[in-house]
Amino acid sequence: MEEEKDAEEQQRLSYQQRLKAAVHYTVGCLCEEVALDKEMQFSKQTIAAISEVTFQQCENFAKDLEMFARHAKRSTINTEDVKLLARRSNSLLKYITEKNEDIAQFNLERKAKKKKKLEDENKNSMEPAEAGVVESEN
Amino acid sequence: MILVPHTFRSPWMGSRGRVAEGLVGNLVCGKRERVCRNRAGELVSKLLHLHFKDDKTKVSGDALRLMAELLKIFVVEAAIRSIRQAQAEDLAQVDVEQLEKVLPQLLLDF
Repeated sequence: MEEEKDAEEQQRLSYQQRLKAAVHYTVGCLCEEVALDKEMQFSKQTIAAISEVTFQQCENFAKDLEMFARHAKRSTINTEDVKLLARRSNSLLKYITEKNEDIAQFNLERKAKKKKKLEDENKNSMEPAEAGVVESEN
Repeated sequence: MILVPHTFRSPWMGSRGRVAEGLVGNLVCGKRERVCRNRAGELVSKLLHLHFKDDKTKVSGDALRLMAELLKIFVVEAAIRSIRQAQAEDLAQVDVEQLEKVLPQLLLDF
């Protein structure tokens, strides 16, 4: 039994390590963009520190989001929870709200496109069927 | 507060084997504008699920995209504020000291 627990713990730790590595890579890419843009350089330790802080902030975010959703008696986290998470700074909240509207707009447009495509396909499949019906009646 | 107005996305790479590269979310390289929106939040999703206490907790697609955006802003703010600090101190490279100076305000803002 002890061995099973140890193995599980090992697995969880190694999974966490892989995620941290993924975050580190992403943070590195983002920082490189910023560094190129501002013509400054980041030391490796700085990038590692930023990625560590980001990983830890994720934990706080995740727990807060879960609590917000549970408080609203939901099991799915939605955009309102994320907006509540961004409440500390006014400009951040405004930016997140705008992004949310952009995403909603994009979703609407995509739905409209899908609907139109479906209607077109139905039209095309109906016309030969109608012609077939007319012939059989004659 | 400085906010980076543009968002950058990147197409996914990676099969399950190459986790580190493959889990890169929608955050890399501004030049690659093509959006793989369906996969954009996989890293973010995994990160969030790692810390959920309840297994039944799920994240909606839109919330995931917003979270990815939020995390990207966090990283970029940290980077830009550190750079500003280093520029104020007339340094050529950004070291951990500069990050340490900007970290308290950054964490209070988030």
